Amino acid sequence: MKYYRKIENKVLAGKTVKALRCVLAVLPLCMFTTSCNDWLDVRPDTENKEKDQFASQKGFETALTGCYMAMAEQDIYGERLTMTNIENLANLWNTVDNSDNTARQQDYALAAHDYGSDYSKAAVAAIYKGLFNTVVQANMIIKHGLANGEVIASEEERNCIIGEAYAIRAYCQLDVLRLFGQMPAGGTKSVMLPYCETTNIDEMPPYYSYADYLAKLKDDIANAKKRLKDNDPLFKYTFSQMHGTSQESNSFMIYRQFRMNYYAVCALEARMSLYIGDTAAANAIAMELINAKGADGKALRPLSGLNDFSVGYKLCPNECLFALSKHDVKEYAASSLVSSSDSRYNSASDLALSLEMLEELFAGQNISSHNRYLYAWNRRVADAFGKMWAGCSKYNFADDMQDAMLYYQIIPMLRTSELYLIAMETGNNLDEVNRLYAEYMLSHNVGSVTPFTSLDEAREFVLSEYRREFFAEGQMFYTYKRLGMVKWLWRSDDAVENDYLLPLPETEFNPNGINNK
Amino acid sequence: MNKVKMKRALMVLVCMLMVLVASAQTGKRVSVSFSNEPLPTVLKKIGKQAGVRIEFVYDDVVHHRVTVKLTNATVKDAVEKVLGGTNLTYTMVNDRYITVKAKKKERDMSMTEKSLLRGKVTDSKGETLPGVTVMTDDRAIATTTDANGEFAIMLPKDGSEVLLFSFVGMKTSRMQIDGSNRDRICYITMEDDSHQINEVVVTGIFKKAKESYTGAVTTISSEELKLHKGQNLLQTLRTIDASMNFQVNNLAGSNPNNLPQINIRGNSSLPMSVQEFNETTSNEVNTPLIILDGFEISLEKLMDYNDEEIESINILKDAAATAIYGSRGSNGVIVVATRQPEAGKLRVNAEVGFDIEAPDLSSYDYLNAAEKLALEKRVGLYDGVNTSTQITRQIAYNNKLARVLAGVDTDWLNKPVHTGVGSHYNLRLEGGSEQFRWAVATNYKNTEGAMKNSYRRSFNGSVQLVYNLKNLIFKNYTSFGLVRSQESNYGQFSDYVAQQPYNSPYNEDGTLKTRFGHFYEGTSDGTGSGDMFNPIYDASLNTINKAGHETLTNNFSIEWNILPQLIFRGQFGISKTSNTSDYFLPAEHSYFTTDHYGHYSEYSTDEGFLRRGLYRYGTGNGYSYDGNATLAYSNTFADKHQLYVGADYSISVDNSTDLLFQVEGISDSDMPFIGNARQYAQNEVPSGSKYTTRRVGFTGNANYTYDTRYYVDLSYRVDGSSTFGSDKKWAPFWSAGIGWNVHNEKFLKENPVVNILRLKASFGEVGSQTGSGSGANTIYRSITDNRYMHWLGSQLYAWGNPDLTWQTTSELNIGMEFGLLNGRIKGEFNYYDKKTSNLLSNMDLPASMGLTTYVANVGEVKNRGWEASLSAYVIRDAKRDLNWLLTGQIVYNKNWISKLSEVVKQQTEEYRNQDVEVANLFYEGRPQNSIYAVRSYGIDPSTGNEMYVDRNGNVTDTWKAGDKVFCGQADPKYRGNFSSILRWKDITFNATFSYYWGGKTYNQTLVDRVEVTSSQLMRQNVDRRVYEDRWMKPGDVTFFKGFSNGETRATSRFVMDDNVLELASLSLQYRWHTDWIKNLLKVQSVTFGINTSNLFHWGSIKQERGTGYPYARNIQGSIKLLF
Repeated sequence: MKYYRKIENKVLAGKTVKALRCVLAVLPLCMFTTSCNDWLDVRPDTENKEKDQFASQKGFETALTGCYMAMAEQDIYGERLTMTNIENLANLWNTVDNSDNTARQQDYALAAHDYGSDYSKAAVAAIYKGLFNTVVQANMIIKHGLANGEVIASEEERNCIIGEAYAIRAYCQLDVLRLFGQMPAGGTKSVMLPYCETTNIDEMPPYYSYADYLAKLKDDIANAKKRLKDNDPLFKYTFSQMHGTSQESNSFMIYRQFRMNYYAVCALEARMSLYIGDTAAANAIAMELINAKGADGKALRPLSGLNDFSVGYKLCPNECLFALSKHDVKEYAASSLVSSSDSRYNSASDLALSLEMLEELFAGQNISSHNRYLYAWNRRVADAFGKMWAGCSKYNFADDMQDAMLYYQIIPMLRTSELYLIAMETGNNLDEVNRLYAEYMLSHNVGSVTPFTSLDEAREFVLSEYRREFFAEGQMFYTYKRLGMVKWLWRSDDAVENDYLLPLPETEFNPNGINNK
Repeated sequence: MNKVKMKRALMVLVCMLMVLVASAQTGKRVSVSFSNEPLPTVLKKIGKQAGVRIEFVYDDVVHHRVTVKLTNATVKDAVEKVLGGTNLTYTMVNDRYITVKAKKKERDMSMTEKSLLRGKVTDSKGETLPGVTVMTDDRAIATTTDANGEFAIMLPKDGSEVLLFSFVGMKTSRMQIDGSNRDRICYITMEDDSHQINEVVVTGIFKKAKESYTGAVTTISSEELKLHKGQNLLQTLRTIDASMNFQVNNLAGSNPNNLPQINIRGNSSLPMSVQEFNETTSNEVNTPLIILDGFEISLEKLMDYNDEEIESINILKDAAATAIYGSRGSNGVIVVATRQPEAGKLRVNAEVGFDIEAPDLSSYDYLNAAEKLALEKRVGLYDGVNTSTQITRQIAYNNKLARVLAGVDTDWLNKPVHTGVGSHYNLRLEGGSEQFRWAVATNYKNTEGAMKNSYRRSFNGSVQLVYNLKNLIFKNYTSFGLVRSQESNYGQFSDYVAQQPYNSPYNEDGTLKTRFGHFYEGTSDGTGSGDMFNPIYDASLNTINKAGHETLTNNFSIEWNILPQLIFRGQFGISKTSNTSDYFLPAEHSYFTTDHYGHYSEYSTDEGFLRRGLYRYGTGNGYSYDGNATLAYSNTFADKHQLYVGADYSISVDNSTDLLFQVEGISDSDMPFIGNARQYAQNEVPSGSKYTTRRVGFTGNANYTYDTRYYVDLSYRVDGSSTFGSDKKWAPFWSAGIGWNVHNEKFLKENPVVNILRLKASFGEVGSQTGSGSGANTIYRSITDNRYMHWLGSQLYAWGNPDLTWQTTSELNIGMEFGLLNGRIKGEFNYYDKKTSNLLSNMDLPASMGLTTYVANVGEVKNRGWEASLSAYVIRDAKRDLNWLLTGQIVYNKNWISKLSEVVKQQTEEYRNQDVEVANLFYEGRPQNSIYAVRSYGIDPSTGNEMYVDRNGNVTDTWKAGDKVFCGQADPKYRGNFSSILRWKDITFNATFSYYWGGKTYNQTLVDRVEVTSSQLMRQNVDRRVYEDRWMKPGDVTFFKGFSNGETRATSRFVMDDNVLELASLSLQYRWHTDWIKNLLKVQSVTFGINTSNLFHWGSIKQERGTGYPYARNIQGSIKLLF
C-alpha cells in the first residue's frame, strides 16, 4: 500500500495534481447535462406539448372544451353546416341567378349542385377540414384518456370526458357519411370514406366501405353510451339544475346540454338509425327519449312551446339535448341572415326567403298561431326597392337579454322536436303517431289539428316539417338524401344521385390504394 | 534596471516644479539641513530658498533620499551636494534655471567615448529585413538597416544600452548591449507581430496558429479598420472584405438607423413558404453569428461597436472554421477580439472627431416648375372633355402658369435634407503593472443623418481588469452601452420627391400651408385627384419616431496555465438589455386629415376627431447568460510532431420579453405622453412576445502537424438546444481538414521567390437553428380569442414530426495561400461548394388527418463559388520609408435552389395558374433571389402600348402574372474591391473601390418616376426623361410607353444589368510624433485622420438611389492624442 502511494505521488506530483483537480472541477458541469434534456425543453407560454397537455385533469378539460370550440367553428356547425352552405345544398334559400353578381358565390355554386366549380370545392374543403379537425381533437382525448385517464381524479368525470370524445367523433363522422357517403338506400354508387382515428402523422385514416364505416360509427356510439351511462351528472340532476354550480361541485361538469351528454348520444343514435334505414331502432330510441324522465321524475326534455317563444327563446334552448355555445353567433349570423327590420336585404349578399316562399314553406299550417312562423321569421325586411322579404331571425336577439349565453348564443344540434319527427315517421301505430302529432303541434301553439288518416300522410307531414322546424339548422339536405327525393321544393330540375354525393376535396387520397374520387 | 529606465523614459506623469522668484534674489545662499528626505522635497526647498527655478522629471528623482547639511551654500554647491552619489546631473542656465536630469539623458557624444556597433536584422524565416528602425530606448540615437538588413550605430563605449528594433508588421525587439556583446556583430531575429495577419486565428473558442489552420478565414486588423472607417462598423467591414455580402437597400439609403442584411457566402436558408418570403423581405435567417470575446452579440450591437476598441476581427467562412459553433455555424461567424490593456505603462488615448453626412442627390434629375407645367399641358391634362371643363381646366392652368411666372419653383428635394454634422469622442486609459492591468474606455458617437433630425447616438463605457497571479490570469470586462436613435420628423424622402415644383410650401404671409389644393385647384372641376398634404407642415409638428436601448454586460474569465502545454479557461458572461420605442403622430398630422392613407373618413366623424393623435409604445427587456470552460493542450514531440487538442463546454440561456401597445386620442400635440391618451387604438390589442432559449454545447478540436509540413484538423461539436424538437435535442456537427505547407518542403526551403505556399482542403457539416422550433412536437395551443361557456379551451395546433431534424449545411473548401518575394506579394484563393439540406418546409397532409400540414425536412439550397485576394507591395523602400501596397479581392457566388418541397412547388404553380401577382417565386434550379417578369417586346410605335410575350410564346397586349418568366438573378455574380495604400513616413493614404457585376435589377424607380400614369402625373413630379423620352405620337420609337392610366406592370423591359463601381473609402492619416510635440505638448503622438466613404458611385443603371432616405457621402475627421 505504502509503495503504491509512493508511485502515485510521483506520478501525480506537482502540477499534474492541479490538472486533475481542474478536470474534477469541470466534471460536475458535465454531470449536469445528463438532466439537460428537460432543461432544454422550453415552450412559449401559450403552447403545450401533447404529453404535458394530458398530464393533468385540467389539460383534459381544456382539450375537450377545445374540441367543442372546433365543432362550433363557422366552417362547420357554427355556420356552414347549419345556416348557409348546407341549406343552399338543399335549395332552401332564395338564390340569385346571376352568379357574377353575388358575393355568395360558394352558396350559389352549391345551390346549383355544381360541385366542379372552385367555389363549391372551396366550401366543401373547408367543411371537410373542419369536421376532421374536430375528429382529431376528439381522437387525442380518447387516446390519452385510455392511456392515462387516471390523472382525472373522479371516475365519473373521466368516463364522461372519454365518452363525450367518442360521441363528438361519432357526431362528425355521421355527418361525413351524410355529406360524402353513398345513398343509404336506393343508390347505385358505393363510396368509401375515411373514418379517422388518427393521433399522429403516421396514422393516415383508412377508408371504409359503407358497412364497415357504419360498424365503426356504431362502435363509437356504443362506447360513448357505455362511458356516459350512470356517470353523466344528468342521472342525478336535471338539465336546468345543471345551469349553476350549486348542484355539482365540479364546474366543468355543468351545462350538460352544451355537451354530448348521455341523452344526446341516444338522440344521435336515433338520427343515425333513421338515416341508415333502421326504423325500428330509430323509433324505439326516439320513443324512449320522448318518454324519458329526468332526475326530478318529470319529462326529460319537453318540447318548447309558447312559453319559450314568448320570451324570445327562438332556438328552443329548453328542448335541446345538445347545443353548441357560440358567443358571437348573433354578430356573424346577421351578416348572412338578414333578420332585424332595420337591416336591408341585398340579394347579392344576404340569405332570405321571398314572402311567397315563406308562405309555401308554411303551406297548410295554421300560421295565425304557429309560433315558429310568428317568432322565427321577420317578414318585414326590405330591399333597396322597398320590396319585403322574410329573414330568419332565429339567431337574432335583443342585446339586453338575460342569460344570453344559456338561451340565445347557441347553435341547436339535437332537439326533442327531431325525436318527435323520427317517432312519427317511423311509427307503425297511427293512433300513437297522431298522439305525438297533437303534442307536437300543441307545442307549436296549434291547438286543434286534423289527425292523419294514414301513416304516409304522417310521413309527408314529417318531410315538410323537417324543412320548417330545422330551417337554418342544416337537416334538410340529409332528409332528402336518406329518402332519395327526386323532387325538392324550390328546385326546378330533378335531383340525381350525384347531387347527393359531394366529392371529397382534391387534397384527399385513399391510402388503401383504391381511387375514390 | 532596464525596466526602470524604460518606465522612466515613457512615464507620463511629469511633474514640474516652478518656483519663480524675482531676479534680484538670484544667487541667494542656502542654509538648510535634510535628514533622509525625498529628493523632490529637497530640490523644492533649495529652489525656494535660492530663488531659482529647478526643473526635474519627478520620476527620475523620486527614488532618492537625501541626508545633508547645507550652510550658506551657493545654489550650485547645494545642488551638487544633494545630487552626489546619484545618477543625476544638472545644468544651469543664466543662474536662474536649473534642470536636473538623469545622467544618461545627456548624449553629448563629443564628450563620451564612442564605439561602432554592427549588426544584422532578419525575420523568423531568416530573410533579411531592410528599413528596420534601430534606436536606443530613449530614442536619442537611431538609424535604419540597409538593403541587406545590416546596420551600424555609434554608441557610448561604457555602460549598458538597450537597443530597440522596430518595423511595421513585426514585434518590436530589444537587445541589451553591454561589455559581453559590444564588440561582436549582433544578429537580431524579429518576429511577426502576432496581431498581424498570418499568425493567429482567433476562433472565439480556441486560438489556432494560422500555419496549421484548415478553415477559410479573413482576419482584419485594427489598422485596416482605421483605414476604411465608414458610417459604422458594418459599413467599414463591407469595404474591407467582399466575402461579406451586404444586400443593397435602395429604400433605406444611408439611414444611420438602418440595420443592413448580411450574408457570408450566399443565402443558405429558405423561408417556409412563398407567401412568407413575399410578406417579409427580411433575410434574418442568413445573418452570420457574431461573437465578441467569446460571447454572442447581436448584429446591431456590432454595428454600434467602437472600432477603436477592437484588436482584430476574424471572419470564419467555411464549415471547417465554423464547425466549433455547431448548430449556429451555417451562416458563418464573425469573431471580434477587443483590445487588451497593455502591461506596465499608463497610456491615455484620446480622440475627437467630426462625422459629416452629406446627402448625395446626384442621381435625381427632376423637372422644374415650368417644365412640369409644360409637360402636363402637353399630355393633355388641361384639355377638357366638354366646354365647361375646357374652361375650368384652362383656368386651373392659368393659375399655375401665373405662379410659375411669378417665380415659384420649389426645390423640394433639398427641403428635408441637410449636411449632418455629428461628432465622436473616445477616451481610453490603460495601465498598471504586469500583475494587474486595467483599461477604462468611453466612447460617444453621434451620427447626424442626411435627413434633418435623424440621428443615431451611442455611448459605450467599459472597464477591463486583468490580474495575473502565478499561472492564473483573471479578467473581468464590464460594459454599459446606450443607443438612442431617431428617424427624421420629415418622414419619407420620397414624399418630397413627389411634390409638385409649382407648389410653394408657404402661404404668402410666410406661414406654412397645411395642404395643397387638388389638381384643378381653384375651379369647380373635381375630377383631379384629391388634395395633397404638405410634408413640411407635418414636419413642423411634434411627431416622434425614436427608439433606444441599453445593454449592461459583465464578462469574467479565468485562464489557468496548468502546465506550459495545458491551459484551462473558464468564462462567464451576463448581459441585460432593455429597449423602448416611441412613435407619435399629433392630431394635426395629415395622417388624420388626408385620404392619402385611406384614413380620412375614419377620422373625420365626430368620434374620429376625438381619436386623432396616435401613440405607439414598445418596450422590451432581455437577459442572457453564457458560460464556458475550455481545456487546451498543445505540445511538440520529438521536434516533428505537433499536437493540439482542445475541448470546450458551453452553456447559454437567453430570455426576452417584448410588448407593444398603441393608444389614440392624444388631442394636445404638445403633450405627447401616453397617459394623455383617450383610449387604446381601435381594433388594436397589446401585443408582445416572450421566449426563452437554452443551449448546451460540447466541442472538441484536434490538430496534428507533422514536421510543420503536413497537418490535419478535426473538429466535433454536439449541440443541445431548446429550439430543436424533443426527440432530437442533440445534434452533432463536425469537420475535417488537411493541409500542406509546401514552403516547408526541402525543395522550396530557402527559395528566393516562394516564401509561403500552403494548400488546404476541408469538409464539414454545420447547422442552422432557425425555425426548427416546435415542428417536432405535437402542440396544443391555448385558445385566447374564443370561449365556450365558462371554460378555457386548448386545441391541437400542429402535428409533430418526430423525424424532424435540424438544417445542415455541408461545405467543401479548397484553398491555397501564397507569399512571394519576401512577402512582397501575398495571395489567397478559396473554392467552396456549400449545400444546405434538410431545409424545413411545410408538407401537405390529407385533410382527413385534421390538420393540413406538418413541418418536414425538404428542400436544398446550393452555393458554389470562389474567393480570390491578392496584395502586392509596388514600392517597399525602406530607405525613403515609402511603401505602396495594392490589394484586390474578387468573390464569385452562384446560388440556386436544388430541391423544393411539393407544397412550395404547388403554391408557385397555383400562383401562376391563377395569375396571382407576387414579387418572388421559387423554382428548382433558379437562384433564391430571382427576378420574374413578363417578357416584353417593347413599345409598339403605332400605339405607344407595351407588347408582351405570353407563356406560350405568343405576342399579346395583355399582361398576366402567370406569364412571368425568369429574367435573371438579383444578386451580383461577382463582387469585390481593390485598394491602394500609400505610406510615406508618417503619412498614410488609402483609396478603396468596391464593385459588383453580373446581377440584374428591376429598375423600380423608372416605373415610379418615369413611366407614370396620367393620374400619377397629377399627383407627383417626375424624372426629366418623362419630358424627353416617352412615346407621344404614332411613329415614335421609344423605350417608355405613351401616357395613359394603365399601370406599368413587371416586364423584362425594366430588368437591367446591375454593374456598379464605387469609391468606397478614401482616407488620409498623419501621425505626428516629433520631439517638439513631446516636449512642448507632453504628448507621445498626435494622429490626424480624414476618412470619406461612399464618395462616388458609377452604375450601369440610371436610377434614383436612396428613395426612402437619400444616400450620403460620409466624411469623418479626427484627431487622436496619445499621452
